[in-house]
Amino acid sequence: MAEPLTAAQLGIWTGQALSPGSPVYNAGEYVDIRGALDERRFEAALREVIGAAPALHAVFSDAGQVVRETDGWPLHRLSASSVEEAEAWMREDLRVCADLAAGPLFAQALIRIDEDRHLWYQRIHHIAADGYAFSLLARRVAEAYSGRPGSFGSYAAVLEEAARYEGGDGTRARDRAYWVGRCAGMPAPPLLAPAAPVSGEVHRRTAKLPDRVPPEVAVAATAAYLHARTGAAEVVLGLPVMNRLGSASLKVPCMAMNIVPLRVPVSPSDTLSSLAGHVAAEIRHGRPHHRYRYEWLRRDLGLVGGDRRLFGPVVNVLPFGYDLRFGEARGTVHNVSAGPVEDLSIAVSDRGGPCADFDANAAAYSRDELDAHADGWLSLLQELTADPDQPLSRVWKPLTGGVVLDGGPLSVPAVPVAHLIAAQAAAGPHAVAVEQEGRRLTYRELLTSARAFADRVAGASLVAIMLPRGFDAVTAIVGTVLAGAAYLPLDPAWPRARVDGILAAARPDVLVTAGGVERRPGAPRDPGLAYVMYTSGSTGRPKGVAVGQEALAHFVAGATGVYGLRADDRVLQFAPLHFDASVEEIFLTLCAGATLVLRTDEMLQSVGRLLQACADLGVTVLDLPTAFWHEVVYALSTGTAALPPRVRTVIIGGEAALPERVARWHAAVRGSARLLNTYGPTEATVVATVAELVPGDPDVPIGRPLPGVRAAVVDGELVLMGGGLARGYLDAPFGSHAGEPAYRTGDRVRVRADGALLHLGRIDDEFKISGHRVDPAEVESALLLHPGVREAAVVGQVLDSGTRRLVAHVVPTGEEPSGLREHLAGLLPAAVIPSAYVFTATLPRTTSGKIDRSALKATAVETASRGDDGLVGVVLRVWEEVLGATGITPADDFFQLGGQSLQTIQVVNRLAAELGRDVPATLLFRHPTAAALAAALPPGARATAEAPSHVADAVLPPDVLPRAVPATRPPTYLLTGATGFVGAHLLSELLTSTDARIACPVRAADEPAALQRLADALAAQGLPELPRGRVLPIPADLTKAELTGDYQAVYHNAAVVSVTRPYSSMRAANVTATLDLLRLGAPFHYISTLAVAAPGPSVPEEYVPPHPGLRDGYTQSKWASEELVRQAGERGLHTAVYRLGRVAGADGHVNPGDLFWRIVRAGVLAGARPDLDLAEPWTPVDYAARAVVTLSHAGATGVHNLAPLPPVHLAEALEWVADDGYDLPVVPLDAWVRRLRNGDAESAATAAFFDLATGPPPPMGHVHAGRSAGIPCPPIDRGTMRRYLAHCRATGLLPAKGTPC
Amino acid sequence: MSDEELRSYVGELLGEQPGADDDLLELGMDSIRLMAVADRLGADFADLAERPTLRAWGELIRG
Repeated sequence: MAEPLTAAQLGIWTGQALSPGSPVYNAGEYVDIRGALDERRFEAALREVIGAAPALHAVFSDAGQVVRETDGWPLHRLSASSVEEAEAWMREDLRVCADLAAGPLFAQALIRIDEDRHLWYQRIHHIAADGYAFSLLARRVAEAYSGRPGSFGSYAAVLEEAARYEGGDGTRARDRAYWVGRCAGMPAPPLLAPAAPVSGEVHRRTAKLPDRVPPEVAVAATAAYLHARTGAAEVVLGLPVMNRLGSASLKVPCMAMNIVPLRVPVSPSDTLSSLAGHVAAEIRHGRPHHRYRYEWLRRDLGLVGGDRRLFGPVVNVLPFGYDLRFGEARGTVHNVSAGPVEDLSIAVSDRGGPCADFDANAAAYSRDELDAHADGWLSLLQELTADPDQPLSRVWKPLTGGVVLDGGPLSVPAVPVAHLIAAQAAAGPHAVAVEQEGRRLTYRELLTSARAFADRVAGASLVAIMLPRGFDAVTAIVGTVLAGAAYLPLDPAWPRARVDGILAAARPDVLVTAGGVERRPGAPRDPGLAYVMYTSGSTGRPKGVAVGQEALAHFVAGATGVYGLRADDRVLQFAPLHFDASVEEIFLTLCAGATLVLRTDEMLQSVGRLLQACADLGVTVLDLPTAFWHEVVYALSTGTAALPPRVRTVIIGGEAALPERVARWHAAVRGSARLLNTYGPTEATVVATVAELVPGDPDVPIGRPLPGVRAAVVDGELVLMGGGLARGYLDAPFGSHAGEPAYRTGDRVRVRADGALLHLGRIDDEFKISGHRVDPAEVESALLLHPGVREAAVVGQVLDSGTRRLVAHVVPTGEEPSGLREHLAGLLPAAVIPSAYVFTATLPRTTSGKIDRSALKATAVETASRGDDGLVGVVLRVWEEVLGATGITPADDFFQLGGQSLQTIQVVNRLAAELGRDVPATLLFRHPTAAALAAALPPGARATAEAPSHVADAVLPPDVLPRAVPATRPPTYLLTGATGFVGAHLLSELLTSTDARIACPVRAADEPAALQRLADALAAQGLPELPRGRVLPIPADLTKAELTGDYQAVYHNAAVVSVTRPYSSMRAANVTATLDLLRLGAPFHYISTLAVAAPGPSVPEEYVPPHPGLRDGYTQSKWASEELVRQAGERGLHTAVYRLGRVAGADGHVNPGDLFWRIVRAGVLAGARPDLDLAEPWTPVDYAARAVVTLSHAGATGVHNLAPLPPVHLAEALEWVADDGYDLPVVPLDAWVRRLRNGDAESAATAAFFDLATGPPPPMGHVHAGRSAGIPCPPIDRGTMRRYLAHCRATGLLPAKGTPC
Repeated sequence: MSDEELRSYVGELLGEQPGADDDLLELGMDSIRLMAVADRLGADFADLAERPTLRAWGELIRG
């Protein structure tokens, strides 16, 4: 008779099944026995003990486990000349993979070193033994050898205990709640190396410890070490627990251990004592819940699969320093293999002295890395234990010198760009180097004119280039580099004052303008610079960053490979030349022999125009500022623009990409182009780290260092080192880190488990707006130059809409000064001019007298809320959003308000989406006031979008308005979807509890057929027959016919329900139909679904803005309808929304089409139920109908969540099914789905659903359902389930109990 | 080991002085400390864990 596997065994059985033949689950130990040993007596003792350990003799299949005798297992007896030789034999043996289905699960050897020394070696598969089991076996063998009595506990009792616990005796649920609660908000565990799959190979390093280490101290030291290496404020460690105390397994050699996560917050002010105290308390707190399997917890937390981790390094403190006596001989235990290592495991034990084994997954760590970590850990432990009360910050400073991330060596040598460009010109002289508006410059032509330019600037060390984007500018830049000089780009559009300031500070030898080349008295400087770029510094004055030719060569060598740039690429030159993104575009392209396509200002008319131009020009690589890319994505996702077909790579950078836009990008582009998110300050030569953004990643990482770049995280701050670093500022070098030049970026980062960096924000006050790094001090200095300003503080704000803006808080000298904007415009680039001004008598200050910037940031400067006053209102709202400004009037000039090219694009992009028509940017240039723009906007219908989007569709056209519907007695209601499962109940309820006549559109050939369909629908659910004359069947298809007529209320319930169909295919039935029905102008009751809720801790009873959780077409369409209903409500239409959970049948009836019943049916046929740990709200259909009718008659408006019952746990509901007499053992979901594929068509379809699902839906938060609180609802329980099942058998959905399938 | 020595040894391990009948597992005697006790007393881990009080342990070592 097969017994089920315990969950602990199942975890290992599954793991082994997934990697057949892998020896990774072998555990091995030997006992080093010194002294005379009677080998025969030993073998007899060993056979007795092994024979008494049933777990070692179990064989496993998917039916369960059977314990049987392992016949004639061998005791290997051999001799070895040394312990090393013996260990080599053991390591070889550990490569043998036990056959779980046939056994044996173990191997035994007695290796003779000499007559006074034997090594007794055991290898046991982890499914049969954990570390404690090894110790029990060793101890019993020693006792038996020595003639001492002893016995093991009952293995059957262990299995029973596990079955009780796993069967849900209440403790499991309690333990689950504990762990899920403990892990709420848990960060991804910081790791010391990128997460890698578990490999069969483990590196081990063993080291002696000076003293015994209590477990909490070992854990605390590991937490401190991780913190020091990663900068993480919280680490999550794995703690192996033996699970024996108070358990039937106390004296049973078997597999019972578990690993629990241990969260340890670490801050620099912590001490070893404080951390150890926290750890000890945490361990103690969790101990009653140690039985809850980590495999379950992983699933509860959605951490299954891929490289997702529940915990980082594992810290195991083994107490097995037991003293084994074999007669007169004494034995000490040595572990050879402790089983699989996911990341890193530190095992502290006592083997004739305290020692530590560091085991590392060889797929994640090299041997050298392991050694470095082991040394680091040991030295940290030593320093911390020397004074357990010193703050960690005092000890770890020297440790953080360790480079956390290394981009690795360059794969090609760093060659000066001048050489590379010349080489390209030699190799392909006729290839096109630069192209603009149909004109082309070949490589030979470029080189020739660049050399001519080089001659003109010969002898110069710094050449200022103030030219617009064009052939001349590119030629001058390349020529300067060919001349061995550095270029200093200046924007011809800058205010004169800024240009003069920079020229005075940088003192170039040459100034190149459209007017010609002008020699100037220059400053002497270091040779070998490539360019100087000005960025805003922290002192209130822009700083010139001097980049060496070697750094540029380094960057080009590193980035070309990572970006995958090829000679046949056509790269758009988008960035202004004074931004270092232009360096990337120009030099990567020309050094690769590709074509640089210069953009024109005309291309910036709109996103659509730019993308169309790129399509026409055959651009293959787009390098865009992230802020602009956000607009591109918006346009792509609303279907107003399409990605050019030849674009294969899009590179973004300059500020943090919004996760929402990244998700939209993936949805819109569907993998047709790579998206590279780059990060890099000018000081590190354009780009330091790169991440390819892939679908499904909830974060937006900035990735890993480019080859040749190294990064350290020091107290959470990113520090960059390596060959890509600039020389320094013109007037000051960078600092150094651990003895080498290093640039402290001021950016806060975190290293994610997979080794990717995540950008968390700025450390200082620096703020970025439209890609410009804004230093408040620079703006404040400029403000103070105005005579009317006494004090000024400028802070950056990020509005809820994501708009970033600068707010100037000004203390005037007298009256509130006017003209501040104009004043600043003469001094500063437009992007850094604040868009909002707040006048105040005093600025808030901290106790130390500094301006309290956080208080200022928190000061709400409200954007005036605007009602819907027509097009002008729409335009003003969009302007305020985009400019982050307040109080804009219809007469204000957009460009005087600070609007620039990016903002222009944002405005036309958003207006196009809001109005559903194309808005060219020229219109805004020609009509720069809101009043004029609104008047000039073209009339016309919505543009036909190629890809309909639920967001774009969710705009209510102006013709939907409330209508005075004449009252009739009795009233007539319109009910859609009346033949559906919910609709039939609604119809019945309306007929029973009102006197209204109900008009029901039904897809049918004629009225009698329609009526017949309605009658059938009611009969199918056991509802009363239709009364004569009260139901008006309308043979009509809602997606085709537009209904007209006077109805006193509309109940819109019809919808296509499918979790697999795309939005576009459901749009007509689920969204357009809603819009058409809203046009009736009658009080509107909309039946919706709780699935529209955004993921989060709760589901409020209110409308939700669009969110990324709207993943499938069905929820998107329901959301879009809700949004239309909401907007209609705002226009004065009486509207209400009723959201249902999974619709359950009325007592004794089921909806056979519902997923739950499809699972039940498929499960019964397959003889197993899936392990579905999911709780969801269920709404009984009769309750839903009653609630809708009751609430609508009470004048309900707004959103109503109809979820009157506690969430139903699917596992429990399926258990009720099984308890009703179906033999349905629980099997893992994937195994269950596999079984279904061999079933009938219906089962296969259910399997296909699970195959298509992208994973379990996120758990739904607490559903607020206060508005329907008074309406009674019977519970759904075991009894309900029994009656549901009886119905299923009566209707033939399910076979009779016990019927073989 | 005398009862008094046992009491002070266990007290040191736990950081507090247990009473004779206190459940030592409840007081923070985890498996690792229990192993240390088993080693020190030359007693069986499982025997100690089955009856985790000072009184029971005293009886156990007196045999």
